[in-house]
Amino acid sequence: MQEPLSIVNYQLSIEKMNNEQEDRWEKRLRFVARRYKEGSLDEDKAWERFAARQGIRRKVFFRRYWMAAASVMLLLIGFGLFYRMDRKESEWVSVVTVPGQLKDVYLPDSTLVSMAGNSTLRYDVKKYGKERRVVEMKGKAFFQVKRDEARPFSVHTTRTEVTVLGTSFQVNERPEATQVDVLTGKVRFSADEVSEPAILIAGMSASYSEEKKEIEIGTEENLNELSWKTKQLRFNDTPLEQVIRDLNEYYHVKITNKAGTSDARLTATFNDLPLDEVLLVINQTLDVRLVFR
Amino acid sequence: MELTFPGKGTKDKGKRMATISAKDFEHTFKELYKPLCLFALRFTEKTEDAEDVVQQAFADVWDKSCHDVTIANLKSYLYQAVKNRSLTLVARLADTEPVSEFVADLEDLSEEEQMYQAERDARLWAAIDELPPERKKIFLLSKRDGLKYQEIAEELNISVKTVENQIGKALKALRETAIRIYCFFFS
Repeated sequence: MQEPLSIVNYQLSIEKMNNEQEDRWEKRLRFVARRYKEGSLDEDKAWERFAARQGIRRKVFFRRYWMAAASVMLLLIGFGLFYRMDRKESEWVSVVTVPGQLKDVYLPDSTLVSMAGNSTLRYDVKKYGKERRVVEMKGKAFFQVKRDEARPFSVHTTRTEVTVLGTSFQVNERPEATQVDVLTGKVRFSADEVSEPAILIAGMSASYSEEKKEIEIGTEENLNELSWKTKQLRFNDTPLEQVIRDLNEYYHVKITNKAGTSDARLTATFNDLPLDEVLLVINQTLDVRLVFR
Repeated sequence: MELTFPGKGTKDKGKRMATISAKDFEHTFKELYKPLCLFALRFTEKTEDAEDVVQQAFADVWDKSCHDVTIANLKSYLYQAVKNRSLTLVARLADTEPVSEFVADLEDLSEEEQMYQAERDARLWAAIDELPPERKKIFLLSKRDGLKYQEIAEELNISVKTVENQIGKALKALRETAIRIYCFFFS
């Protein structure tokens, strides 16, 4: 008896709820439809109006502006750091001489480099003198190295390296060989392809031959290796062939002997003389006929 | 929906705008705007008035947030503010215009239910927005302007059958929106 009644009640309550919902729906529809106006209550338009009045848009704009400015700054700082690091890594100073030009270069530690013509010298300003003193070179240069035992001085050529503490020496790099002449002190001469470096003391010379891949210690002293710098040509019982070679190199000419006798030897000293005067002296002394083109 | 602003005397005074950014505020504004307008429309007759009231309420909140004032429940606060402002406005206009017939629908509803009702009204409004233009026109001529089907047919130079048909489709679409909302609500 209880059950059917409760079902009826349930159905009644559902009906009542539906009616109530229907009623509320009708009321809602009537309300919204009556108030409805096209294009009104648009959130986006309303926000624009609100933001414009409150100056929010400008704030947002400024925030974006600041963001943009900040990113540009970051970018610049980034580039700056990169550039600085780049600078820290290398800042090369290069000195190049044209053929025939002589140039004296003082390095930061007051080491003097006298460069012959057609030579290149470069060193990293950022690194030079920090732990070591390193220069790279091509061609011919004479070094008078400021003594500093804590920071060895090195000259790098394409295939060799000369390391010193404080001395004067010359490096002459030619395509076929690199020659080192030591005037004072002691130098260590090493080459990439040679395991044992050569230790050279004052008056010694050594040459690394590209062909033989070995360092040869010079047997006879060449008096004129440094003449380009000293402006002095010295010959001491020097064979004529060697005299011609030295003159060719010093004056950048090509000298030929028209008279034929080649076993003559010369002992003389020329101090910064013009070539034709030098040739005049030699021709008269040795009874040869040297001419140059 | 609870947005709090750092209160007076908080340590990070310099960063007081940081907790409610313009972006957060914009989000809140856009979410609550339509329901609040429809809530205001229970009291006021014109949409312009309702929109003004809601704009003022938001401006008040924004101003407070700029002056370090804490509002514990922003949504509730806004509904109350909109109601008060609407009633003030209506009282001023009371001499010339009759009190809205729709205020009665709010009676016997809790604050929560009133907010929920406003949200559903807003969805219905948005659903009307979505109706195809011709159907919307016919629907509004009938339900808003109270024209008879015959009158609408004459006005638009179409058959009564078409009017019936269009209004039927409009009601169906709107009711579906409503049902979807119920389903969402009860699930």
